[in-house]
Amino acid sequence: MNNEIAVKLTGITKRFGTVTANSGVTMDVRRGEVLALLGENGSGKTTLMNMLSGIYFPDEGEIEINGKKASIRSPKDAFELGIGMIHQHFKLVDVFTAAENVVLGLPGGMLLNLREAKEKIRSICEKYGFETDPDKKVYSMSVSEKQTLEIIKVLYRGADILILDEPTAVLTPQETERLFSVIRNMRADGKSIIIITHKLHEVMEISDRVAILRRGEYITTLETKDADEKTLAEAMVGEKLALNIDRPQPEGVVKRLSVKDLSCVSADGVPTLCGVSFDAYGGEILGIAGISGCGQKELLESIAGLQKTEPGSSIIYSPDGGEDEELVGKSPREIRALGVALSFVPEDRLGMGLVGSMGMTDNMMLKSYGEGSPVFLHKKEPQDLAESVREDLGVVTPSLATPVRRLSGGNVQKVLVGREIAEAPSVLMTAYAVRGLDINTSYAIYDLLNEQKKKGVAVIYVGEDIDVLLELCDRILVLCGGKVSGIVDARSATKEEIGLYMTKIGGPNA
Amino acid sequence: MKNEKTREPLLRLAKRDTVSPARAVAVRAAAIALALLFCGIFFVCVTDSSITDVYAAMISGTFRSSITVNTFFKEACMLLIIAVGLAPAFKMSFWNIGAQGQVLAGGMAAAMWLFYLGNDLPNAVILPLMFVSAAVGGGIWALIPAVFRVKFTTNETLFTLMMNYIAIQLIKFLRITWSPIHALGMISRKSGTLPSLFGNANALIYVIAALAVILMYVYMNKTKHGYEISVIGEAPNTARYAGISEFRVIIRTAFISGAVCGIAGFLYVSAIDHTISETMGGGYGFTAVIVAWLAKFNPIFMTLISMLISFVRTGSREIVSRNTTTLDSSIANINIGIFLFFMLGCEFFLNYKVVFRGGKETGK
Repeated sequence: MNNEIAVKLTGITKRFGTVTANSGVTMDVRRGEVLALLGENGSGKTTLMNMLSGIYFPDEGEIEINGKKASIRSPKDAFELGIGMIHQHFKLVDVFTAAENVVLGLPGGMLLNLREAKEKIRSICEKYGFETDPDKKVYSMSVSEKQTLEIIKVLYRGADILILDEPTAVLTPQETERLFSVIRNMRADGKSIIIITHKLHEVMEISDRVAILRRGEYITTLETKDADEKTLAEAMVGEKLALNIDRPQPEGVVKRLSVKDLSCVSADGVPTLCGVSFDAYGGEILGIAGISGCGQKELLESIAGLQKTEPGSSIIYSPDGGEDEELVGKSPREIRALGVALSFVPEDRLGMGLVGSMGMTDNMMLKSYGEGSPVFLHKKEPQDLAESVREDLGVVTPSLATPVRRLSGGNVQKVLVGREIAEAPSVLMTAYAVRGLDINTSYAIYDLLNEQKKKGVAVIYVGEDIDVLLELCDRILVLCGGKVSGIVDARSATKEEIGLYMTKIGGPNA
Repeated sequence: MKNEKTREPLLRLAKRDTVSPARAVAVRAAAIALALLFCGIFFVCVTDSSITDVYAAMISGTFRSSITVNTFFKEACMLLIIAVGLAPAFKMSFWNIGAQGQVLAGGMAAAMWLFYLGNDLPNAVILPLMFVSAAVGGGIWALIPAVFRVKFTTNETLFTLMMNYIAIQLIKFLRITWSPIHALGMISRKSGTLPSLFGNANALIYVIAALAVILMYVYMNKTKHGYEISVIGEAPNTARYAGISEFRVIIRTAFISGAVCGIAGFLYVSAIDHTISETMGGGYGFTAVIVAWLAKFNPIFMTLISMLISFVRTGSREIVSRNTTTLDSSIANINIGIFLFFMLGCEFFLNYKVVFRGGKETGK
């Protein structure tokens, strides 16, 4: 028995009803390595890892941990075997402190010994280079802090096989860097780390080996040093790919939206936007970059009429051949009627814009159901629309009535973006449109946005991936702490430049 | 490592993805059969009768005469009307536990007309007045918690529950103020009694129940209001993004929910009790909560469940009446408890599958 192998999976199969999520997966994870698990949406990565962490039990196949056969029946069994999983959606109690969350569910006497727990948390932090305050309440933590806490939680329980499910999907580049340095420290300590991700450059940066799944089947494991992004992407989708985002030159550019001195204050009285001014033009894609929570959401919501703005704010909308309109003070419906569409993809993908229990048809009429008869619903038009979105964007769904929450993330996002585009808006705002999507679907979405741009739509694209912003957009507006830090030409700007603007108002010139 | 570690667990639960309609019906039918079996066994234990006697008594207690049949239908219909009223509120994730209070509020509003003007106004005038004010009364009773929920994000479950007790105390107060009721029980007035139809005093109750089921089905499934209710209930943030006013929809739906319960109160006053009392409806306001939930807000299922509960109730009553020395009327509640236990329990088997060691998790 090779002692270096920490986890060995043999012939793992898992079915859900008629769907086979994993079929005969055989692979291994070594001690002291970072293994990237790569695959498109629905390729069975999360299911496979859930079987390691005791959430599901395999229908067929064997799992060996440290050379011994193991039957992982529950997350508790997984903990006992030293396996800890950090899920995409954090499982933390908001009103508890970091330390309380860590000790939650651990065996022990009647009395909590938080002091000891805090000591241990501090020593874990020191060892791997985390920064955390054991007394901080979870509700006041940023996404990155919550993730750190989740990792500490599994380390506290003595895990030496860590599974991270898309850990960077919600992090800024700086936070990602910090996470990676922690991962490297853990690897140096002899831990096995499995990281599920879609981002190829991250795979290249952090992993030692890459295991690739496609449609539930194990394809191959590559040494990262022998692979490049292109070979990985092709192994993942099983066909040749061109990894270039198209960027047509803007044509017939006209001013559509003129935002002046836009300010917002949150419900707690904290300013979220301060004097934001910019113009958006039809026929171009304006990217919006910034560390998460720097006012991106408030900016888009203000334009869509969903945020209360401070006095003095002005958003002038100039339609084709019509009078200029002031959007501030208009209701969300009036603004939509003017042709300003917003699709915001939240972290849970469904919460803003779609109703999970409804099918595509019912979701299509979400913003247009008010038209027509004053009392009764008309399902004919939304049904036709759903059918055309399904065809045009290649949405995979058993039927138009299947609840959208059953669709995979990529398909959910296609439904969301497809509906907004179908309204033929003249201003299309999308936030995090490719959040958590695989390569093929992401490119499909970029193509959709480019098509809109060519039609003369003013596209505002809020994104997380700076590389994509630089490749896709014409101009990039960088937000920093609710202020416009800078507006740069995406064709000439560099990643470093944007990074500086993100962290300091005025960026390199300040 | 212990040896058992390497073995598959003896029992494990697998979440079902979807349940075929046939299976869903079969599981529910099995639950009903088991519930009826346990009700029977329970009666065999507390009386000296054999199990066949018990069922014979339950059936004859329900279907023996037109009077028993009418009682059976009347109770089923009242339960159904209240459950139908709760459905839109629940669909909107507005946990209205105050149906009892809304029934009482509607009853009070109706009884007010009856008490003061029952001798002066003809039926054609007073009944519509009673009907409308009962609906408004019940509606307001639900509206108050709704306003607080939207404006101050109070918890509507507690709020609607507390509103029940306010209604109960108000009724006690009114019974004393309107001392004739206190003394005599019934408000006897020339008009204000729901007329018979085809010689059946309950016929209008059946008509109203049927209308309530049909109208609510259409309202929830075919209208824009119904669509807004579903969106707000499922995804409040999405509703905000779509420009649906949460305030307007919650207020409107809570009012409609309370109004339908208020109409049940009107029926109690005008057709069944002819008075008001704090026990009006015999706690159906709470039973209806479970009926609405079990039926997943589907009016057809609500009809079936209401009939079953009514059957258990009338059947139990018959057995109690045959054993008055040993049994108490509250036995009916024990049986309804048994029935609900099985009905709620079967939901578990619809959502999960128990897999034995070596079994496959390939549930349909």
